[in-house]
Amino acid sequence: MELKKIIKSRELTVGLVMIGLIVFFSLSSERFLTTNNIKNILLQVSSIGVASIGMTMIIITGGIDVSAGSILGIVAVTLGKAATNGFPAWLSIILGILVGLALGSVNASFIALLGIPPIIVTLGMMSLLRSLAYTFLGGRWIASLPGAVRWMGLGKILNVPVPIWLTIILVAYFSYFMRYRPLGRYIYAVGNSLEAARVSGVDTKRILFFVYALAGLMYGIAGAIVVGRAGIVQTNTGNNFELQVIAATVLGGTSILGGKGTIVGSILGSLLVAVLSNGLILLNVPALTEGLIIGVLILGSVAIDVIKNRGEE
Amino acid sequence: MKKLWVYLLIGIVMLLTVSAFATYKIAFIPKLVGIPYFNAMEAGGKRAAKDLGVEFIYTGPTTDSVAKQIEIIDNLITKGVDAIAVAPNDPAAITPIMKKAKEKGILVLTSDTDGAEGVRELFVNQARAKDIGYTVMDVVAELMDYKGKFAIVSGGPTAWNLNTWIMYLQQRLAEYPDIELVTIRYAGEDVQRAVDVGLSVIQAFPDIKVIVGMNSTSAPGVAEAVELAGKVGQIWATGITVPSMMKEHMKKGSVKKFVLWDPENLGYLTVWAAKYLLDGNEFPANTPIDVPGIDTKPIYYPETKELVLGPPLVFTPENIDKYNF
Repeated sequence: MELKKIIKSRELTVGLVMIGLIVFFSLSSERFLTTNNIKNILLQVSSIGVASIGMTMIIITGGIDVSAGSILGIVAVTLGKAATNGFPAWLSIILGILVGLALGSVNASFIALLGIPPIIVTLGMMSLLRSLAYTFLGGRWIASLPGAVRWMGLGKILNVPVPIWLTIILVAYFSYFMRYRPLGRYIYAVGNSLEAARVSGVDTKRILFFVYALAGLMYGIAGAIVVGRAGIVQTNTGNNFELQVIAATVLGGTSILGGKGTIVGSILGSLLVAVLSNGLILLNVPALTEGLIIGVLILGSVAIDVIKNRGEE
Repeated sequence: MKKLWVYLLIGIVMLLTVSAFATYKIAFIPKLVGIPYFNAMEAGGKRAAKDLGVEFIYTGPTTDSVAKQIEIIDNLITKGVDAIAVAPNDPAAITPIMKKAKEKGILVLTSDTDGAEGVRELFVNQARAKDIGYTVMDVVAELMDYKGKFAIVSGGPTAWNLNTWIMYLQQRLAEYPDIELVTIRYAGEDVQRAVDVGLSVIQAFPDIKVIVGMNSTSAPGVAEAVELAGKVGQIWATGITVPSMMKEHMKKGSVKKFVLWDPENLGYLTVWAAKYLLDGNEFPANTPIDVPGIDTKPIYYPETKELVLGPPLVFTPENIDKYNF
C-alpha cells in the first residue's frame, strides 16, 4: 500500500484514536495497562471480532446481515440443548457451529441464487429464527451447562484464553485471504460493481453464496464463545448482537456503500468500543455518558467516510 | 307463529345455560414471553385458574416491545375477555389502550410492574420497591460484615423498577456508615455483557467485598465475573434474579444469598385478585388477606390501589432447592 493510501485510511484514524485513548487511560489509572485488564478487553472483543470477519465481507459486497444475532441465538440453543441432552461436549460445540454454517447458507441461497435483497432476506431470518429459538427452548433458559462445553469461552492454551487465540488466528488468516487470494479479491470486485465483475467473468453468485455462508460459520464460532463465556443460554442470547457487529465494522472503515474495508479495521473498531467502555469504568465516569460517546464516534466516522468518498468521485 | 315461540324459548334456554357455564376469561400479558421469570408467573396463573374455575389466557411479545404489547391488548379486547392484567413495558404508553379496554367493560389490572395510572383498577405488586431495595442492602451489609465497599451492575439505565430499587437501596445505605457504594454500571439484559462489565468493575475496584446484579441477567453475570477473576472467597456476588440462574454459582462459592419474590405466587395472586374483583368483592384495607393457594398473606393498600404479595424472599443454600423456576 502506498503511504498516501495508508494515511487516508480509516484504519489509521481508528488506530490513532485508540492509541490516544490507551495512553490517556493508562495515565489516569494504573490498573488499565495490566495483563489482566488487557485480557478482559480482548475477551470482550472476541465474539464480536470473530463475527465481524463475516460481516465485513458481506458489507464489502454491498450487502448487510441483520440476522447475525438471531443465528447466534440458534447456535447457542443448539449447543446448549445438545450438551444438556447427553451429547459429548466436542460434538455439541461442532453441531452448534455447523448450524451457524447451515443458517448462513440459507441466507446465501436466498440472496445469491434467488437474488432477493440481503436486507429483506436477513430481516426475515432475524425474526423467524428468534421465534424459533423461543419455540425450541419453550421459554426455559439453560443454566447449568457442563464445564467441558464451555471450552470455547473458558479454555486456555499456553495460558491464553481460547477466544483470544481464535480471534487472532481467524483475523490473521482472513486478512491474508482478502488481500492475496483470488476469491478475496473478487469479493471487493463484486462490491465495487456487481455488473463489471460479472462481465469480466467472475461467478458473482458463487462469491455471494460463499460470503453469506462463511459469515454463518463465523456467527457459529462466535456463538460457541458467547455460550462458553456466559454459561447460560437465554432465549434472547444474541439480541442486538448484529448491531454491535455492524457498528464495529462500519466504525473500522468498511464502507456501507460496498467495495471498501478490511477485517483488521473491523477488529480495531470493536477494540475501540471495548477499550472505551472498559476505560470509562476504570475512571468511574458516569455510565450514562458511555452510550453517548460511542454514538458520537460512530456517526462521526461514517460522516467522514461519506465526505471523503464524495471528494474522490 | 307457534313454532316461532318454541324457537325463541329454546333460544332463551340455551342462552341461559351458556351464561351459567361461562367462566371468566382472565388474560395476563407479560413484558415478554420466554424468560423463566414470566414462565413461573404463567404456571401460578394456570394453577389459580384450575383452583378457581376460570379460563386463563397467557400471551405476550417475544421481545420487550411496547408496540407489540399494545397490539396484543387490542386483540384481546376484540376477542372479548373479562379481565386484562399487564406487566407493562412502558408504564405510560399502555394507558390509552387500557382505557379503551376499561370502556368496553373489561377489568384492567397491572401486575409485576405498574402503569396506566388512574385507569387500572388494581396493581398486583410482588413486593414494595422499598422492601426490595432495603432487603438487598441488608443482604449486602450482612455479606460484608457491615463494613467495606460494594458495586452495582444494573440492567437498562432507564428501567424504572430497577432504578427505584436502587434509590431505596441507597436510602437504606445511609444507615450503614461503614459501607460505601463505589459505582453503578449498566449491562442490559445480556449475561455476557454483565460478565464483561463485572470483570471491568472488579479490575477498577479490586477491594470491593460485594458486587450486586440488579436484574435476572446481571446477577448470574457478575457471579461468573467473580469466578473468572479468581475472587471467590474475597468478593460475594448477589442481587435480584431467579434461583435457577444462581444454583450453579452457589455451588462454586461465589454466591451465598440473593433476593427475589416467588413469581409463581405472584401469578396465582394476579388471577385470584381478578376473579375476586369480577365477583364484585372489595378488598379489606391494610390487613393481611387469606389467599388459599399461596404461602404469604397479601395486603391491600387502598390509597394506591395496590395488592402486595408480601416481603421479598432471601434465597440461601438451605432453601434454594425448593424452587425450580
